[in-house]
Amino acid sequence: MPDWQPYIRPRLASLGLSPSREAEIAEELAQHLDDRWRDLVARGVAPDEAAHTARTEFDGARLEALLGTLRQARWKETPPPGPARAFSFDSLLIDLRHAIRALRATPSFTLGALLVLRSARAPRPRSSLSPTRSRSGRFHFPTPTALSRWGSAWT
Amino acid sequence: MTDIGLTALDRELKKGAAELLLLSVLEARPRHGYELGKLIETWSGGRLVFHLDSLYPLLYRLEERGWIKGTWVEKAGERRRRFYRLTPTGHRVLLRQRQTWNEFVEAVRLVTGGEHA
Repeated sequence: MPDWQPYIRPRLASLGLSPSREAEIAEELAQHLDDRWRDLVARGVAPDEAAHTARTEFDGARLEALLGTLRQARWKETPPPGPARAFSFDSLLIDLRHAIRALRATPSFTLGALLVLRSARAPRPRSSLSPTRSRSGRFHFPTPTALSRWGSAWT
Repeated sequence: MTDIGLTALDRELKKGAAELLLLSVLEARPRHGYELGKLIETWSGGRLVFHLDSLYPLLYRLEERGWIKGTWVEKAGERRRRFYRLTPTGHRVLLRQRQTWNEFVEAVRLVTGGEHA
């Protein structure tokens, strides 16, 4: 059985995956290539040729680009959690008191923060080119502007 | 519409269809990635082919959305495999997407069917 890891691991290394998730994905992709190789060999293809076919049927750069758009590929951007602190109502009250005092001391900042939080809750437009449906059940295609924004959309 | 627009629209329609295809094949029972690709190719008469580079990123995306759930399954004498199943949310999304897709295809057919020529 060919070793697929040299073809898979470099594609995952640049992503910000957690080590355990990276290992899982590498295992799953290697299994897929094993299955493909077995299928080809079972159909009478020579083992070396089957390995070559399985390797060339996927685009490593494309795989890397598509995986890079996933949330799990940003794991390394999240700072590791600090030391755990035991929860107590006393410390909660102290933290709340500090927070209220700080907010009162800077009313303009507080107002600005509340406005930002309010705007963040507003629904964001869907960045999709698929025809959207109105309440009347009609399909609406996107505008040319939306189309040009989506030049890099993937399949 | 520009050529770029048409290309992007084509891509986006395929993307929507790809999601619907995966959810549909998972409707009956959990399946692993290779099996999903094989079934889509076989059931479409060889017209639809998913390669590794687009299949797995899409599976992981659907999993991040909570539409499917992947679980490693170990069987005696075999390697463990990651099987994907539809979540309750995924079931609801599938029903909605299937209905929308069918209505869209029917709408396009009414225009392109040549009945107005």
